[in-house]
This record gives sequence, C-alpha cells and structure tokens, in this order.
Amino acid sequence: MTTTSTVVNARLDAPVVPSRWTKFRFFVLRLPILQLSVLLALILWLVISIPAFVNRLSIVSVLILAALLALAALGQTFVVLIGGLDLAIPGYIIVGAFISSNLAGGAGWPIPLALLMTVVICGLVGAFVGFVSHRYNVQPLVLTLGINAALVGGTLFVAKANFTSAPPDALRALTAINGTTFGLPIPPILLIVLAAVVLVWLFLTRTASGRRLYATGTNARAAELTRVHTGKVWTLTFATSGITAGIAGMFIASFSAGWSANIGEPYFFTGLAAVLLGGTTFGSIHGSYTRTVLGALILTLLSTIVLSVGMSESESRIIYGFVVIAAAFLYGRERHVRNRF
Amino acid sequence: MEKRGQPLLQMAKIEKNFGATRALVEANIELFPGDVHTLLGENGSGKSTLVKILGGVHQPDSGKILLDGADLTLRSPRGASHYGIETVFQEVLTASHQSVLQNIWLGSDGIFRRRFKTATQRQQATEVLERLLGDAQLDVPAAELSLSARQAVSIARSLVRRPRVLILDEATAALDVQTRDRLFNEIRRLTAQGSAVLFISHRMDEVAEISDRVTVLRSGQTISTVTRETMTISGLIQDMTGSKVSPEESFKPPREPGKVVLQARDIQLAEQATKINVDIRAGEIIGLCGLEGHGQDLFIRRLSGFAGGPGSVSRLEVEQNNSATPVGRRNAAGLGVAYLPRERRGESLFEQMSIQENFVLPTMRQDKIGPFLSRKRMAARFREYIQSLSIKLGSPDDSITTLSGGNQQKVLLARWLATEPSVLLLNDPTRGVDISTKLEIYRTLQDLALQGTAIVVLSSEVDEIVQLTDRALVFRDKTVFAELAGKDLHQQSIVTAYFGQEMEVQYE
Repeated sequence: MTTTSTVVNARLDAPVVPSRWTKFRFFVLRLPILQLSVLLALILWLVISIPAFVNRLSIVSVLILAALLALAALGQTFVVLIGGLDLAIPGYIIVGAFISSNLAGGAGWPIPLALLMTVVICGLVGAFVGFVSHRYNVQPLVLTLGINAALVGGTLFVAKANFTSAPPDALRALTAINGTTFGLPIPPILLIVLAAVVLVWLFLTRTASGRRLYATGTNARAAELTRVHTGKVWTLTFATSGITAGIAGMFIASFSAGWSANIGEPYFFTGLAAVLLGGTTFGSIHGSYTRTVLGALILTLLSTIVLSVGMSESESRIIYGFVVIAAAFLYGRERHVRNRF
Repeated sequence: MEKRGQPLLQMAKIEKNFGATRALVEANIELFPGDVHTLLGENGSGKSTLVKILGGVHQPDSGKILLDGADLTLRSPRGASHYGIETVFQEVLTASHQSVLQNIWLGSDGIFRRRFKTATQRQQATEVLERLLGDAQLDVPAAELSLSARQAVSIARSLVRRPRVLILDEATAALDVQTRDRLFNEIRRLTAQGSAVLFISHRMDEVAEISDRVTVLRSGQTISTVTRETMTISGLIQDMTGSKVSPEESFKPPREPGKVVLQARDIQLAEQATKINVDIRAGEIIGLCGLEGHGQDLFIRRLSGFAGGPGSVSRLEVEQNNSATPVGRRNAAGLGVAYLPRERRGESLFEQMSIQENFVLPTMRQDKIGPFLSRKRMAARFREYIQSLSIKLGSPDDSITTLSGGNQQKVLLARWLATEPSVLLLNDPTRGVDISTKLEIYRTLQDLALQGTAIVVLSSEVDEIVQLTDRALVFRDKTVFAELAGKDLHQQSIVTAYFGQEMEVQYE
C-alpha cells in the first residue's frame, strides 16, 4: 500500500505541463475567435451577394455607423462588467444631440464649450445613478429607466421641440463619409474609436483601476473587504457610461445632420446587443471593449445586409432578436457547478 | 464489533480525473448499516470528490457503486436523493427569504402537488428541529437565524427525508457545541434504525467521539480503514499526512508583548450589553472564541473597521507620539490593520480570477510603473510568498479554483501579509483547512508575532485557541465573559466559560 501511494504522490506532485491542445483552447477562449469568424462570414456574404458594395464610400459609411454604435456602447461595456445595466443611454444621446445641434449649431456656442457641457451634464447624471444605486441598493435597471424618461423629456422641454438646427460644420466634418484626418482619407470618428479601443484595453488589462472594476463585478462583497471602494467604482462607471453616450449623441447628430425626439432609441437595444454579442457577460472578467466593437461591426453589417435584401423594419428586428438570443445561449452558460472541484 | 453482513453501500476502485488533476486514483469504502463511518484526509486528498460522486454531483471515470449489492448509477443530486442518499455540505445552504418550514421541505414538492400534507410537514419538521435546536420556529425567515441554526435547518432538511445514507461533509463546522451534541444524538438514533452515516470533519475530537469506523484517504487513494477499537488519533494523523506530526506541538515560544497598538474602548455589541475594553499589544496573539453568535464575530469586524456601533477602536502609533487614530473601513489600510474575513468564497475569493490576481488586489499600488501595473514586479512579489508559505500551485496564472482549500487560504493570508500589517485580524483562518496546512499557518503566525505583529485570531476550535494564542477572550451574551491567559488557558477553562459559570462541563 505504502509503495503504491508513493508512486501516486510522485505523479500528482509533478508539474503539469499544458498540452498543445490545452494552450490552443485557452487561446481560443481568450480571443474572440467566434466573433471574428461571424464577421468574416458576413463580409463574404455581403461581398458575394452585392459586389457593388466594395467601394470606398459604402465601406466607410458602414464603418462610421459601427463606430457610432461602438461609442454609444463604450460605457455600457463597463456597466455590464460590474453587473449593472444602463437604460438611460438614449437619454444621454439626446442630451448630446441637443447640445451639439441647438447650442453649438443654432446658438453658435464654441465646440469645446458644447463638449464640456455634454460631459458635465451626462457625467453628473451618470455619477448620480451609480452612487444612488450602490449606496441605497437600488436596481440600476429601474433607476436608469426613470432617468432616461427624465432626460428625454427634459431635453425636449428645454429645446421647445425645435429640431431645425444641425451641428456646426466643424463637428460634422468629424463624421463625414469623405472626411479626412491629417490628409489621410479616413474620417476622424474612426480614429477616435480606434484610440478608445486601445485606451480601454490598456485601462482594463494594465491598470489598478481596471483590476478593481473586474473585482467589483465578480464579487462586490469580497472587493469591498479587499479595500476596493466599490461605491466609487459604481459611480465612476455609470458616469463614464453617461459621458461616452453623450459624446456619441453629439456625433450621431453630426452624422445625421440634425436630431429628433427619438434619435437615441435604437442605440440602447443595439448597443446592449453589441456588448453581449461581443461576449461580455454580466459581472465577470469575461469581456472587453474590443469585443464590443466587434459586436458593433457584426450588427451594422447585419443591418446593411437586411436592408439590402429588402427586408422590412419588423423583419430585421426579428433577426436582431434571434442573434441576441443566440449570443445569450453561447455566453450565458457559466461553468456548471459539477465541473468545479 | 459484531459480525457484519452485506455492506449497505460500497464504492469500489473509484477513479476520477479533472483535466490533468487526478482527484481520485483508487478509492474504496464500505458503509455498513448502523455505522457512523468517518472519512478522513487532508484538503486535496479527494474527500470532497468522493462525497460529490456519492451525492450524484460528479460521475466517476471508472469504478463501481453498489447499493444493497446492486449496481447504482447516480446522475444527479436528485437521483441520489431518490435512492435515500442525502448530503449536507459545509457551506450553509438555506434560502434566506423563505421560512424555516419551506427551507426544510425545499425541493420535495412537485410544481403543482405537495408530496405530504402541510400538517404532516409541520409535524415532522417540528420533531426534527426540536431535537436539533431545542425549539422549532417554523415560520421565521431563515435569514433571521444564526449561522449555526441555519446549518441545523439544512441538516433537518436531510433528516426529514429519512435517509438510508446520510453524508455530513464538514457539516458540523458551522455548528455551535450544543447543537453539535444534539446532532450526534440524532446520528445515533438514525444509525440505530439501520441507516449509515458518512461523516467528514477536521475536528479530531468529533471524529473520536462519533466514529464506528474511519477510512483515511490520501492523494485520492484509500490508505487504511480502522474500527473504533483499533484507532488512535496519532495513527490516523500519521496515515493522513504520511509522516509523523505531533498535534500537541507547542506554538508558543516565550515572548514579551510590546506597546499597545490597537485600543478598543467602550465597545457595545448589543443594547444593554456590557462594554468591552481591550488593549492589543505588538507581538501578542489574542484569541476570540465563544459559542456561535455570542458576539465574537461582530467584535473582530468592529476591530477591522468594517462594522460600526457604539464605542471606539483606535490605532496607537508609537512612532508618532502615540497618536490615536480611529479605525474605519477606509483608513484601515493606511493604519496597517489587515482583516481576513471568515467566508472564503463569499468574502475573499474572486473565483474567476487567477491565483496571482487574487493575491495582488490590496497591494497593487506597489507594482505601478507610471500608470501601468508591472506584471514582473507582481510575479516577483508573489513568488516570495509562494516560497515562504509553501503554497502548492501549478502556475500563478491558473484560476484560483484549481487550488485546494488550504492553499487558497494560504494565498489569502499572503494577500494580507503583503500589506505588511502591524495588526493582523483573522476571522477563523483555519476553517476547513487540513491539519498540516493548519500547522504551517500556526508557525507563520508565530514568526510574525515574534517580529512584532499584533495578531487577533477568532477561532471556533478550542484546540486552536489553546495551542496558538497568548490570551483568549471568551464571548458570551455579546460581551467578553472571561479573559484567560497563561496557565489558566486550557480546554476546560475555555469550555466552562463558553457555557457560563453555572453550566456543568461535559468536555474532556
């Protein structure tokens, strides 16, 4: 008995060398392989079914649409990571759209002032949401639903339903399809989102604050006991969500050369869909902004295809719905208890 | 022992692998009707896996399970329950918003139909609870009960189903002494009716008291099975560890306590409770103990700054003219007060994160280069603790869940040691930790005390308080009932204080 057990011990104590397959699996799980392949498939489909699509203007306009969606969903990515949900995205968007159209465009405010105004208003409202839902244990779902209604109503009240203005040309140039950056034929909005991708990636993987955000999302109680100020994390995260959605609103109004009462509406559902489709899950360490951007690209391509084959709005919504349900099936499944030990 | 017939349940040559980890290599166990069979082993020896296989949570890779001599395949916990196998786990599993009655019958009803009439349910629940707790409050929400009482409710849940095989997987860890004694009576009633009990505990006194047979598991393999007549504690420990370790080893080298570093003044843990005044000195180890729910848990959380209430906790800093600063949850870090919470999974672990990420959280600031964290520095800092605490791990980047409970606890201890605390508050640090890891933790704490760290340990194990601490505060009715030190600090005196003076002691 003793001899056999010694042999067993030796085997158990030997360092486990991960096989090539294990390494490969790890790699696949870490990288959004699935999202990339879906994206490639959609691109192929689009190119084959509509060869005329392959021209600079169409490609750039799809990229801009995806960039606007990705920008609107930036904060939502963080919010989902800490296990919350921000329903007030359309509210922030309409605030940004109003400020850029009526104040910067109509009333002639300087653009930096308009930007500052958007950041301050949306940031404060978001901070309020994060603080209150953490401090008083209010469901952010309910709170942001109310905040959204108040923001939309408040903006329309202040604007006196005046939708005649559009953002100034300088702002519109940032999102123009034929826009250029430092002489390069790339609209600035694309570079802005690209820069955001890099910054967020650095933030989440390389900074202490990023670690605290993940810690708060995965186990808020343990995070608090490990000296993470979870209240601060919630407040700042929701503030970020407000700020990025507000700025996205400025750009969305610039791209569509004006605004309307329901300019932000599509961006809540599609934005959240982009986050989830990218593979970010509620309150977990599985998620990143890169994934959200991929999700935004997939959804934008999907809607382009849906429109090009002549489907109606209601039909395209059905497709969206099924795509999100499929994403939920793939990623909603956490490891089953029986696979833990 | 009388001649035995057929075993009620038999597990033969069970093997189970999780990826590269071999959890069970060759596990054998036979449960006879009327027996309390104890399964002993260190953390990582495969006990939990064996229990989970028997409870239908895991399926074995190979090997046989026989019930009454017939092959048995268990696919789910519900399936195990169908065959009369009930498991109570170490984690207290109650639905906190449901009433005690609902908790006891949880999962037994169909969606539309009750298996038993409400009156029957009430009557059976009352009977079992009265025997376990002394009284049966069926209609209060489970959340209002103490941890010990909640565990009693989850044990009652198994008992009302009249199990043929009852598995208690460290289920006594959360129980207070009184409830545990009542549970042992229940166990004897159950075995007298021909059922078998598979008992798992890290407390050798419990094992010695209740076991008819003991099987020792090491590295996933059955090492030995002994009967009550032939077993000795030292023999069992030797089988478990594979080497000779004396449990009586003293951990108290002589040392002089230094200046007061933490001062608790007029702390009141409940209305009308007597106020508590305690001075905690550099280089001493103070034990907090008492029956579950008598205030010691709240007291250590008051010391940590995570709980508030009447009275004050101040940190005295010698270097700064003995200035007294009140300890709160936000400034504890700066004052050098570290707190290791009690519930590992709920309050300490980030199960999705890697081992190193779990270690690094409160001390990340040290690894900053500019705005970014340096992985190299992190790894270098962690490596020191892997060595000094001899943490057994594959790679620091593996998930924390790949570690055994004892090693997880070491990582968490390392997390707080890395903050280089002057005051270290530990809330039941060796709960569910195997013996050799326990001894390692004791040695580490002694070394720290010698270097001048003030250590406060809350423990539910009397042995631990006796072996480890310089003085013990025994809590009763939300206040310090007795302070024991020096030659007055022994099992008898602690347990006497547990129950108040008038109580007669039944402890050996």
